[in-house]
Amino acid sequence: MTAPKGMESFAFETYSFKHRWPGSQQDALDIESLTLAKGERMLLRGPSGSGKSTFLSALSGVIDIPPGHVRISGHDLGHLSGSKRDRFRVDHIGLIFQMFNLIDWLSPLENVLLPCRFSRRRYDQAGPNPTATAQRLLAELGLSDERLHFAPSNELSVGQQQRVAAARALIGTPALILADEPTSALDDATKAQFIDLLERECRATGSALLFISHDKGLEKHFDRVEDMTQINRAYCSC
Amino acid sequence: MLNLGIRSLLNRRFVVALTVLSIALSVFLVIGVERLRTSAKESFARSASGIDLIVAARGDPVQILMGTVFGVGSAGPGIGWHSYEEITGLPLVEWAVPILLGDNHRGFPVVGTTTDYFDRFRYGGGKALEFASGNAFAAASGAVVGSEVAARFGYSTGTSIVNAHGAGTVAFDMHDEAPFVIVGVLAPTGTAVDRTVIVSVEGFDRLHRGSHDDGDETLDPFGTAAENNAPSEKLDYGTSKATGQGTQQSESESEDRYMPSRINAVYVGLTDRAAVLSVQRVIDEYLPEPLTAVLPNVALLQLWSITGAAEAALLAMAFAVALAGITGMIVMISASLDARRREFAILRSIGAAPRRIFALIVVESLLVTAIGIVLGLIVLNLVSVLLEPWFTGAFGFILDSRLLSLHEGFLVLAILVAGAGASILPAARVYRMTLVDGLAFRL
Repeated sequence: MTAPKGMESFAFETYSFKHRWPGSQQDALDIESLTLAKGERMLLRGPSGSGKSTFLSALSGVIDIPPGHVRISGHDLGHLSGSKRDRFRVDHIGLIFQMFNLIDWLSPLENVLLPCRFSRRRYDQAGPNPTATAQRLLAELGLSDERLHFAPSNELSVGQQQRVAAARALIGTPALILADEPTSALDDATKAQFIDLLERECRATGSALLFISHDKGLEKHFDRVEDMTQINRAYCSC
Repeated sequence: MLNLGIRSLLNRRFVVALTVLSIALSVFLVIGVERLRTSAKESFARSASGIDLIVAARGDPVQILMGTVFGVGSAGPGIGWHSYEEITGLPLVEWAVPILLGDNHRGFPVVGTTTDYFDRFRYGGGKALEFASGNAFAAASGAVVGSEVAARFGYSTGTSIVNAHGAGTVAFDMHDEAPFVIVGVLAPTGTAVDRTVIVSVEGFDRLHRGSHDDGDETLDPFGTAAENNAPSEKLDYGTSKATGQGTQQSESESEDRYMPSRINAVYVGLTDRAAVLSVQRVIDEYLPEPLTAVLPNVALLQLWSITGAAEAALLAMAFAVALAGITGMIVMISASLDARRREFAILRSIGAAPRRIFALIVVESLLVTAIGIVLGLIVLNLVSVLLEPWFTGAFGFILDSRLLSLHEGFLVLAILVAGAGASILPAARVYRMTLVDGLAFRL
């Protein structure tokens, strides 16, 4: 929208971005500058209250932002209306939450295909046969058993559900994957496996990854590690 | 969105099924009541459509119409044969058919008339009576039965039948000494004729003379006073007994045409329908006997104005049930909203704008309402088909068995629109909720 084609070298950019929740006395977020290059994987750490969730809300276009502070793939979110941000989100961003990512009344396969249903861009980028792409993604994320693809989603284990959520975020290669502590509900073995798989898929598709977690020992999977307490000037440990 | 709506409803299939049932019940009642109403009116209007005037002893037009054309209630005290002849001789009268009533055959009314009846009677916009088999009676012992009577008892031409005195199903006095032989079966008309046994005036009268020769006072409590008296359940023979001599005479006089002393009514057709009011006035005011000439359509309108309040109450009840059904659906959808907040947040995270989630709720309501409507109509039509024979027998009119008339279509559409409209309430709540909740970060 704002940036010419080919100039989108960043998955996201934030410059002098402040945000205050309505009714609050002080800023929740005050970021000088934070950028993520295309295809780059960043681990963002920080204790609760350090502004991670607010930052994710800003990036995913849920909160209103004045123009000129946050860009996703070169598009200034501040220029988009609320419903346009909803469409923009599915076009450019894949989201993975801590837990309960799936819609119970849809099968895992249908859950993965949801972004293609809501976004023409994701549908087009999901290859000639999105269903086959979804099944390939599920298989690469360790869910090769086809029976699982059609089972009720709530019968899957938490680890399996998170991997389905990852496949949903990855399908149609959005520029940016936002993962909000997706491993916090997993045990150590599944946690390691999950991050392995997610890293590999992001490499394969070329999507940038912003991974938020408290967990130690994940650094080796990422190009960069940032600490929210350092980035957010509104945070004080007092 | 439709597909998502279907899947979401399937997920809650038990509650949804209950809601669909309540909507189906609403539709069943609303359309059922409406169909009953219109069927009754259409059926009644069809039966009387070919008759310009019904002449009977002075009385209430609605009562005369009901008693003569539909065989409901009293047949009236009767009029003298001379009045029939006077009516026949009036200018502008194209035809006049005498009608004798008061007997029944196994619960179906027996009509005594002349063969002109088959030529003159018109129903449903000018259609003439047709014989499915046989033809009109030539002899006094011949009978023609309506399609419904024939079907009910398996009658065909050649069957011998016995009629009973009185209009009810319980026969106290069987005329088994005077049997009739069926010479014709009429094709179905969808009118009261289908449930009628038609015999000649002579045959009708003959069996009464047979059984009432002794002048049985207990069977004839009103005696001669009945001429200007309250309606009696059966034909009054007081006069016929008083002038018994004359009856014998007139019978012996006419070789080709039998003349009863009294008849119950005369169906009249005019050469010019526009003159109906003046002919009515002549009959009412200038003939020697006190008579009432009834315009069938006017009497029907009077009847509908009487039943209007009951109809309105019935319809109001049906709509109240529809309202309850739709309210139930809104309650069902609203109750599930809090449990579905997570679901809406997920849908938003993968690009569903709040107004699409709004649309999802409306689509779900539309689906529930539509399925309820379809189910209700299926059940209604099944019930109509299954109850049709009993219904026609009990109430004397044919249930409209069309799947859905235009008018009913409008009612159904109104219910559908009401369902979708009511769902705007919970949908608007979801809309605000999704805006406030944002994505799933904080849930």
